Amino acid sequence: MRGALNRYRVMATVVGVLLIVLILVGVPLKYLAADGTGPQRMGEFITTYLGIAHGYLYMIFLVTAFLLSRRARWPMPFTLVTLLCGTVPVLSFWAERRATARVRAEHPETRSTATSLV
Amino acid sequence: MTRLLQPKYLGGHLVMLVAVGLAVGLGLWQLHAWDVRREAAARDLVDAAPKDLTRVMGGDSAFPGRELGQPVRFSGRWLDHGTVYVSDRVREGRDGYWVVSPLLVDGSRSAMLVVRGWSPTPSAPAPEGRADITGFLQFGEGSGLVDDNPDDDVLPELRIGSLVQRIDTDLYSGYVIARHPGTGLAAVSPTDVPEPSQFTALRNLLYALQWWVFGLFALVVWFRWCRDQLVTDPPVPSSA
Repeated sequence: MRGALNRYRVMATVVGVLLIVLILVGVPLKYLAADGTGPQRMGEFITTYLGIAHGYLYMIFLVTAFLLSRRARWPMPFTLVTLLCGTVPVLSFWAERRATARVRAEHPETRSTATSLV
Repeated sequence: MTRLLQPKYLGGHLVMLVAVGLAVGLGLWQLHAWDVRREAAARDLVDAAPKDLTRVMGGDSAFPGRELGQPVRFSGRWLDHGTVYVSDRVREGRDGYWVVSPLLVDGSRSAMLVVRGWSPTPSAPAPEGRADITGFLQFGEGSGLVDDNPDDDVLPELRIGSLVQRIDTDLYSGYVIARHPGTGLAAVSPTDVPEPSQFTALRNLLYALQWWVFGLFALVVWFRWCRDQLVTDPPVPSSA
């Protein structure tokens, strides 16, 4: 259980950070910065390559989240909200905290000190 | 199994159907984009009869994807600035430059970028006065190549957005390769257009696959959910 929780948290953090860089940094740079300038190219680069990377990492995230939801026996609505929130910038961190809190509350053995991630 | 058809489970099935439908649909859409790009790249319009540019696209319109490679004709006046040289253009095995100048199209307030020809050096006499152009309509490039020196007139690719900065007239959202090269320049063939679209097209295909994997994932989630329901909801004995 602790392994599943940690895998989920690592992927949620990676995907969450990438999503913020992609949507809140890359996209505004690409469309708002003056064409042909350094920041605009940076935006192009971020949206192209991080965009593709994010797609595949999100799939891995989905699998880790789903495996955790099976282990922890979450009801389906809770699982779906956790999966879908991974697609929304910033909200993904809230979903990760919510999911982690639930697992820790329901499965006391995951609470030991060694699991601290951040 | 019929227990799963109870009304209280219908919501779950509906969510699955919507998710799978969306994933399959979006995947097909990406697959279609992949197809269209490949088709456009493969279409041979070199010998097609030229159309009037005004009938193909306007100065402010988006690029008409189906007209990629279409021979067009138009007249206008060369702008007195804005000539650029696009580097790394190979012609008959030699590395050189495309010479590109904007032509203000008659009857519009926009200028069309015209590839006047190929030159081994980034220099060419400036065009003057009026011109009648027949050439092949092309989509602006844009694979994100970095311009090492933004202050000179040499560009790594023909990206319309980069030229908007240099030319104080509106630009058409495409460019034209002149069939007959300008004085002192060698002709550029539409087959010389580099093909960054290979990557773009491949990306569409990969996105399509990605959507279908998501669809499959939705099916797996639904399947596990159905099994859970059967376990936690044993059959009611009296229902027989």
